[in-house]
Parts: sequence; C-alpha cells; structure tokens
Amino acid sequence: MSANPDMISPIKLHKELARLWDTPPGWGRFSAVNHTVLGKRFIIAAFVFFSIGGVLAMLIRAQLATSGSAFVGPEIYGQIFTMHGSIMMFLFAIPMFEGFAIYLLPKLLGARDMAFPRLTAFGFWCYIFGGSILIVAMLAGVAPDGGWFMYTPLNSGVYSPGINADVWLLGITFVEISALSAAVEIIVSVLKLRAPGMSIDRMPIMAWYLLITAFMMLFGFPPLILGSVLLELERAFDLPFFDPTRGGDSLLWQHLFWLFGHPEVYIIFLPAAGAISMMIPTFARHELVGYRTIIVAVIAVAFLSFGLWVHHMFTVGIPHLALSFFSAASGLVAIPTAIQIFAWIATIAHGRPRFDVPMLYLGGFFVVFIIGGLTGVMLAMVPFNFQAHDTHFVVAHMHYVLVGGFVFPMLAAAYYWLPHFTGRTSDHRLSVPAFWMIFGGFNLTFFLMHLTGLLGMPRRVETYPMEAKWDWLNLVSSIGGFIMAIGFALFVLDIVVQARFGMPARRNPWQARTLEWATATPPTSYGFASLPLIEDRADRLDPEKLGPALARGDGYLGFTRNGWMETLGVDMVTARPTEVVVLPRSTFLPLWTALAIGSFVLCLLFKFYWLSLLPVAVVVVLFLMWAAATGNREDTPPLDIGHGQSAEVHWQVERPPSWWAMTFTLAADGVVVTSLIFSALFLRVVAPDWPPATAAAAPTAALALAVIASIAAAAAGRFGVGRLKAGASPIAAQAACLLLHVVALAALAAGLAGIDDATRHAQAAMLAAVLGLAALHVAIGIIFAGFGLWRAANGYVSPRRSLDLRIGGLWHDATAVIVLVCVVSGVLLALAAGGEVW
Amino acid sequence: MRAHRSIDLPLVAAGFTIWSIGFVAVYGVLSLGCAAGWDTVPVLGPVTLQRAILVALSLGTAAATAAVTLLLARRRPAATGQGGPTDFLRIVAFYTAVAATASVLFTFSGVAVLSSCVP
Amino acid sequence: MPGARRAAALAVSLLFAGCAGDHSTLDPAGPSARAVATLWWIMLGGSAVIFAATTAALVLAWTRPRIFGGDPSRPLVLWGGLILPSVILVALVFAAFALGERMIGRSGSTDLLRIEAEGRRWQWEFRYPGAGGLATIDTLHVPAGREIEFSVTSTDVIHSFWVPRLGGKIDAIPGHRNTIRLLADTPGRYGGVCAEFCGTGHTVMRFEVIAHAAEDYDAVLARLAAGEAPEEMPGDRP
Ligand SMILES: [Cu+2]
Repeated sequence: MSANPDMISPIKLHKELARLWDTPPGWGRFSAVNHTVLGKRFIIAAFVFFSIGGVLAMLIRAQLATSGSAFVGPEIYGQIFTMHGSIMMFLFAIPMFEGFAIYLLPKLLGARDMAFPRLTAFGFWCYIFGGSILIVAMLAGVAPDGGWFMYTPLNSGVYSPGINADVWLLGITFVEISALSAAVEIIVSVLKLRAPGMSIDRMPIMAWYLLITAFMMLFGFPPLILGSVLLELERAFDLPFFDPTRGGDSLLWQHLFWLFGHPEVYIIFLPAAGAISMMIPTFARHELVGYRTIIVAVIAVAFLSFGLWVHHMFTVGIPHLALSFFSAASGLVAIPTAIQIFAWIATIAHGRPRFDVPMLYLGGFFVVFIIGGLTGVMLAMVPFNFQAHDTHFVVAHMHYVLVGGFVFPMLAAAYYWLPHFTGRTSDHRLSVPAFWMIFGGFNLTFFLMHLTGLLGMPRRVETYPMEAKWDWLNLVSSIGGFIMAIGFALFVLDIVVQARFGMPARRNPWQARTLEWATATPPTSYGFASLPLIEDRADRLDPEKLGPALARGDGYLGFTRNGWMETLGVDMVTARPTEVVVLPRSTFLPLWTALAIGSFVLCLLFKFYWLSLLPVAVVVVLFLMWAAATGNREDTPPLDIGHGQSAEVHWQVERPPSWWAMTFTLAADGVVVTSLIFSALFLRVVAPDWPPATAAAAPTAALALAVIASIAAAAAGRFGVGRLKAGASPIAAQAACLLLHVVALAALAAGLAGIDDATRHAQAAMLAAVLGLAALHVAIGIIFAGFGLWRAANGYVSPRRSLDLRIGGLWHDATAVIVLVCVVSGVLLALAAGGEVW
Repeated sequence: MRAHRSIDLPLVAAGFTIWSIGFVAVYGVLSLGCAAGWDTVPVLGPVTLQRAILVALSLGTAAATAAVTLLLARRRPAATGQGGPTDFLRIVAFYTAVAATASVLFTFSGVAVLSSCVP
Repeated sequence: MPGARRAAALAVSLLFAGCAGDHSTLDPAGPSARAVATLWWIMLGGSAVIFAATTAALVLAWTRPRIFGGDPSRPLVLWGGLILPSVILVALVFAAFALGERMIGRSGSTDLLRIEAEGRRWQWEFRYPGAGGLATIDTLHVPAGREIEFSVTSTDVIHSFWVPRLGGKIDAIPGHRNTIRLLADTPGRYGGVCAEFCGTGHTVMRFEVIAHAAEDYDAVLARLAAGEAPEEMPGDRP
C-alpha cells in the first residue's frame, strides 16, 4: 500500500477521526447513530427481551409440570404463551441478528459505518418503543392472548374485544419498521459500502448470508405488515376482511401470516449460518470449503423458503395436489441446508481443527439443529403432519430448529466475538458448565416432547387430565427447562465477568483471517482509520499486518476534511471506488421521529383516531427535516481519496446508496401492493358469501382521472429532472408534478367517497383498501414533490446535484404504476362482484 | 459519471425467480379452477380441464427454467478458475438455475396424479 | 420384509401402548392412524440412521480426516449434502404422496356414512343425517368397521377436529365445510380433542368417540333419537 501523502501520526489521525465520529457523552448518547454503539445496544436489548421470554417459558413449564395444575388460569396462560412466542420471534431473534449485522457488517466490509446511520438509530428506537408497548401491556395484564400467530376470527373484534390483540398488531408492526429499515440498510451497505477491491466474489461469506437474508426480509415482512394493518382496520373500523359472515375469510390471515412466517425461520437461521461459516474456518484453520456452492445453496434456500408457507396450513382443507407443492418444497429445502452442513464438516476435514469454547457451542448446534431438520422433513409429509400438527411434536420440532439454528450459533458467536466487543480474552471457567447445562437441559426439555405430542397432547392447553398419562413426560420437560434456565444464567454471569475482568486481548486472538479483526479491539467509533485495498478473497487476509497499516493511515481516506464523516462507495460488482459517501453526524432526529410514531401508535391503541393525525403531521415534518439536513448548495469538485485516486461526493453521482435504498424500499412496497391485490382475488375465489348482495361500485370517470393525473405527475417529474440536467430550472415541472398529484388525490378521494358503506361486505372493504393504498402513495408523492420544489427553489439542486429530484422521481414513477394497478383491480373487484361501474 | 451496469448480479436469481412465478401461477390457477369447477370438465378420457391446465403450466415452468439454464450455460466462462467477479457471478447464476430447474420438476411432481380439488 | 417391519412396529407400539393414554397416535385403532404410525416408525428409523451418520462424519472429520480421501469435499458435500439426501427425499416424498392420496384424496368408497361435526366455543355437536334429526354433544357415535366421512365446520372461531387413535385432524373453520374420512376398526371408546387454540375453553373442548358394533349402530341411533340411553355401551378399550 502506498503511504499517506501528508503523513500524520496515527495518534493525531485517531484524535481527528474520533472527534468527528464519537457519540457525544451524557444526554448526547440518545443521539447516537454509530453502528458499533447501536449494534451493541440492539444485542443487549434483544438479550433483555430474551430473558423476559425465558421467564415466561419457565412459567409455562411450571404450569404444565403436572396434570390438573391450577398455577395460572386459562386467561393468564393465554397471555403467557402468546407473549413467549411473540417476544422470542419478534423482540429477540430478529433484533439480535440485526444487532450482530449492524455491529459486524461495516467491519467485515471495510467501511466506517452502515449506509444510513440515522436509519439504524431510528430502527433501534422503533424496536425499543414497540417492544416496550408489549411489555407494559403484559405488566398491566392486557397482553395479547390469542396465540403468537394471531389467527382470526379468534383475534377479531367479536371474540377478542379487549385491547390485547391491538397491542400485538400495533406494537409488532411498530417493531417491523426496524426490521424493514434494517433490511434496506443491510442490502445497500453490502452492495455499495465495501472496501475498494472487495469485488463481489471476494466478499466474506457472512456478507453473502446477510445480503440474501435482507432480501428475504424485504419480501417476507410486507405480507405480515399488510395483514396486521388489515386486521387492525377490521378491529378498529369494522372493515370485514377476515369476517366469514360478511365475505371475509379467516384463511386470508393465515396465508398472509405464514407467507411471512415461514421465510422468517430462515431469516433467523441464515445469519446464524453465516456466523458459523465465519467461525468454523477459523477453528479448522482452513478456509471455508465450497464458498461458491454455499452461495448457490443459500440463494436456493431463500427462494424455496417462500414456497413452504402452507405446510403450517395442511389441515385447513386445501386440495391434496396443492399440499403436494408445499410438501415437496418443504422437503426440498433440506437439500441446500444439508449442503451447508456438509461444507462445514468438509472444512473441518480439510483443516487442522483446534478446539475452543465457540466450537463446543457449535457442536451443540450440529446435534440440535440436525434433529430439528429431520423432524422438519417428517412434518413436511402431509399424512404425518395431519397427526402431528398442533401437538407438542411441533413445539419440540420448532424449538430444535430455532434454538439449534439460532441460539446455539449465537452463543458460539458471543464467545467468538466477545474479545472484539470488549478487548478482553475469554477463559473457560463458566462457559463449559454453562454449555452442558444449556445443552443437557434443552434436550431434556424438548427431546421427549416429540413423544408427548405423538401421545396426543395438543399445543396451548393449560392443563391435562391425569388419565392422559402425559405427566412424567411433562415433568421431565419442566425439570429440563429449569436446568436450561440455570445454564443461561451461568452464561450471562460468565459474559459479564469476562467483559468486566477478562485479561486484555491482543489483536485477533483466534488468528482469524477476516477484516473485522483488523480494527482496534474494542473498536473505535470510526472502525478503520483508513480503508483497506483488498487484493484477495476477504477470508484470506492477515489482520495482524493489515490493522497497524490501516491505523497508520496507509489505506484510502486516511485523513479528515470539511468536518465530514466519510467512507467509500464502490461499484457493486467490481468494487472500484465510485464515490465518497458523507455520513450524517449524531442527531436526535431518529429518536424524535420514533417517539412521534410511538405517539401515533398509542393514539390508535387508545382509539383517539382524530388525535392520531397530529403525530402523523409531526412525523412528516421530522422526516422532511431529516432529508433537509443533508445536501449542499454548491457543486463539489472530485475529492481525493488517497492512493492518488479521486471520486465524486455521493450526492453528485447517478446511483448513490440513497438511490438504491429508495429502489429497494419500492420493491418492498410493490410486495405490499401485490399482496393486497392477491388478497382481494383470494377472497373473491375462496371466501364464503360472494358475490355480495349489494356490491360497492367503482366510479370509473374519477378513477380514470386519478390514473391519468398520476401518470402525468410522473412525466412532469421526469421532465423536471431532464430540464435540470440540461441546465434549466426544474421548478415549473416540479410544481406541475405537485399539482397533478393533488388532482389524483382528489379523484381517488371521490372514488373512496363513492363507497357508501365499507363495513357491509369484504368486497366494499377491499375496494376501499385498494383505493386507499393508491391514495396513500399519491399523498406521499405530494410530499416528495413539495420537498423537490423547496430544494430546487433554494439552490440545493444543479445539473450535477439532481439526486433529490431523481429520488422523488422514483417515487412518482412507482406511484403512477401503483395507482394504475390499484384502479384496475378496484374496477375488476366491482365488476366481479356484480357492482355497477360508472 | 455513470455507474457500471451489470445484468450479471440480478441473473443469479433468474432461475428461482421463474420457479417463484410458476409456483404462484400453478397454485393460483389450481384455486381458480376448483372454484370454477374445471375439475369436472372432461377434456380427454379421464383428463379434466383442471388437470390439463395444471400439467401444461408445470411443464411450461420447467421448460422456462431449463431454457434459462441453457442461456446461462452459454454465458458461463470456459474455465472455472479465478476469473474475477463477472465470471464468478455467471457460474453462480448457472448452478442456481440448475437447482431451480430441479426444484421445478420436484415441486410439481404430483401434478399429473394427485387430487386437484377437495371432493 | 413388510411383514417383519410391521411386526417390529407392532412390538414397539405395544411397548408404548402400555404407557399411552386414550389419545396416542402410536396406538392406532383405524387404518389412517395405523398408516401414519407406520410412516412415523419408518421415518424415525431413517432419521436415527441419518443422524448417526452425520454425527459420525463430523467426528471423523475432526479426528480422522484421512478416511475421506485427499479431497474430503467430494465425498462429503457431493454425496453427503446432495446425492444421498436427494435419493432419500424423493423416495419419502413419493411414498407420502401415495399415502396422502389414500387418506385425503378422492374416495373410491360408495358406502360412506356421513356425519356432521360442528365446533363451537367450547363443545362439539355431532349430527347424524337420516337419524331423525339426532344431534349429540361432545359424544360421537360411530359404527365400527365402516368408513365415515365427517363434514366439519365451526360457528365461531377456528377449531380442529382430532381423534388421534383414528387418524389425522381437520380444521373446523367458520364459513367453510371440510371433510375427513376415518374408520374405527373395533368397537370401543376413543378420545377426541380440539387441536386448534380457540380461547380460554380450548383445553376443555374434548369429546369422546364411541364405536359401536356395526350391526347395532342403527338401533343405537334410534334409541338416542328417542331420548333413551343406548342400552349396550362398549366397555373400555381392550
Ligand atoms: Cu376449539
């Protein structure tokens, strides 16, 4: 590597960078946007929720330990098992992996932070506030109690009139905001913010796993969010999407939920598999065998996992042929999983393995996860599933998969990366007994539970008769559960002791060969004082040599300028540096925005619907402030990046991270729209009571006007960008875009007003939902157009600084398509139901 | 300044994207057909309209993934050594398409015989 | 070979029958449940072998990597990860298709007896078409040895109709009518439960199936329809 031209001392460079990147002390901690800080906060918060979920699990085991137990009644028991499942899935597993990803990813990729640090912080606060709503509700005795998959009509207004189900729908959806923002951020960070030279074939395998997982989240979470919104609309405004007495269908909920719910299992497993693929090569002292094969396998898993969802619904009365598709796909997904497992075994066989604590926990992973996989294939077989479904066999299987596939790898990862987090080595005193208690306790709890299920014990019963002869099995499970709990307590104690009193570690204590070990340990806020040039696959590096060189400022960007926090953006495939990405400083905006959304959620929860418009307005203003905080009124000349190279600043290039973020956000948005339209089709085909006696009509003239206006708005937006690039003013075109959106909104409002009673039948409700979704897009289009107008009027744009308008343009284009699709579906929905079209 | 554009990156998902589209189409048409009573419309001997459409769709999906696999096989570099990121992506895209083709055949393997509607 | 396997399965099920209650899928009392129990024992045996082999591969990779040859990835990833699992999977899935088609596909039988089951919070009502509007609550009377098609629905939330010793379950969904075919081999009493969580009474939403000798069945229904207790009740299962 060439030397830094204006050679400054590493200490001085460190101080300059730290001054820019460090999170302020005191109250300033709430303004943190740094990935190292927030990654740790995510992990700690997720572990706190895990402990709460674990206590609930202990209550379940206490209740079921003997037959005829009267420890808690069915009302409380419903809350306990619902909260246990919901917490472990939504407040522990997903945020825990997000925390790991946020902490590790920039360090693995050789970047100084994630692509959108404020989004990281925003996601964190949404997670904390949403999670807190659930926990507070539980403490107040009004936790959700209808099961963690919230089946309707049990969780509809008629059968769950209380606030409990609303707490789930609103709180979990609030948390999902953080999952979606993490997905977008991970995708863009992996694709764009890598070290120069780290072409896509050189990425550390973890980056591949996280990239693919994030894409799954992008497509998996929208159906759940849509389902939750529809169910909340049903509960709040009586729109009968899931009500079988008015043309709705409870099966629609199941499809939407499991369309998310099954990919979710792999969304949880794949990041853990990524961590395994990082740890095994280190301890095998051999690079990962089958790097390319594993990538192919993971892509296959990612897709196949979207074709399994009905295996949660085998007994709902679907034709055998349809079940066979899902059964085959469910079995098929075992193949790419087996390929990964044998690639890890082959890595060990190739290497000179060395034993240490993380490997012990990975041994636990192998045993537990393989058993979970095998019972998974059993459950994929339709005839067997008909017997085992909804019994404790499924409970056992699911825990083998999730604890084996996520918890054991994460425990291994905790020991593996602990020296990185804390700068201290780990010793073995408590970690080994902790492992044996967790591993032994786990198998004691869940292994015989398969048999409990086969002996006929259904899930979610709060007691059982002595004649059923399930007593001894349940008692064994309960004893195992408490042993496992003690094991986890030992683990926590061990981690705390080591983090506090462990011996200081030298750099790279495991002799790993990946980039995260080239940072200081514990890492500095900026990660790398200068960014490396990667010339080999990123798991063949020498952190011991690389670390000091980068700290000296030998790499790219080994300096500060303009008080900017800089990292490099690269070409997605070749990793040639393309732009200098200027990242935002610490700010309270994410906190305020999440708080405003939190107040909106609380307004909905307590049914202050008119009042809820106030926080919505605040959210819009805050997001505008968020966008307004970046940008420049002058063109910036190409910037020196070191090594004699230069690059444009990111807001002056064609496709910077924010452009890609908008593109991927729109992809997730497209999934929402598609899911809604498929939902309408599903109701039309499957739901009882169709066509409705009186169908809602679609006013074609108004709707046609909406389509024309939004297509014209998109055209005006494009025209404005063209004008700007040609050196002319885009203001008139932007104003036209704004105006046309207003026209489209008015036309859609007229269409919505034409539905006299959306509560009468699901057809009317669906029509309202489809048109409402279109109107929502147009309304946001107004905000984008207005923002573009303001930016243009205040000199933030120029022929070279057209990004603001082009990002708005993406939205306008998407809105035109969505309005068209929604209107066509709305008209078809009216026609298919025999409604008038006028 | 124009970012380097490459179709090679999205092509790694090509095979399975077709699998997904086929999956949604076959499952969707199955539900539509049962609702419309296509399973009671005979076409040829014991073959119903429902069966004929589903088999045709499955075969069509298989043909589409196979075609994509062949196209990607042609883009595949001759040597599988260290060929840089583009070669790497092309190899990954090819093998993913092979896996997708196998997946189509296996996923729809019951289409010719199993009961297509609830009696 | 099938005979030997069946004998082995029978031996193991007898082992469990001793400790099994009235709800054990491993103590089948009808053809559906028996087929699934057989499938289970086969899958359990296969899984045990696969688990042992995979664990052995892991241990050997650690301790004696040489037995996998000069390039361990070929035998491990290609054979262990791809070829062997594919062969097993194809065989298993096709066997399950065949069995599933027999259980839930179209029925060839012309002698189906129809009984309606309706779940509601928190009881089961059974109706017997052709028996003078007879309806029973939480007790289901069936003839032994004859295939019955249950037509299952719900009037409120989702329940699931399940008689573990006779065969698989089917969900009772409001607005839908699902069917399942079951057969009890011999007269006796079999436990039934609601398998889908349906609220605070989910646990107590149990029912009992009483299988009567086929020749007595019509008389039993007639007595029940007349409001009398059926004279002759089969005792506890043998
Ligand atoms: Cu029930």
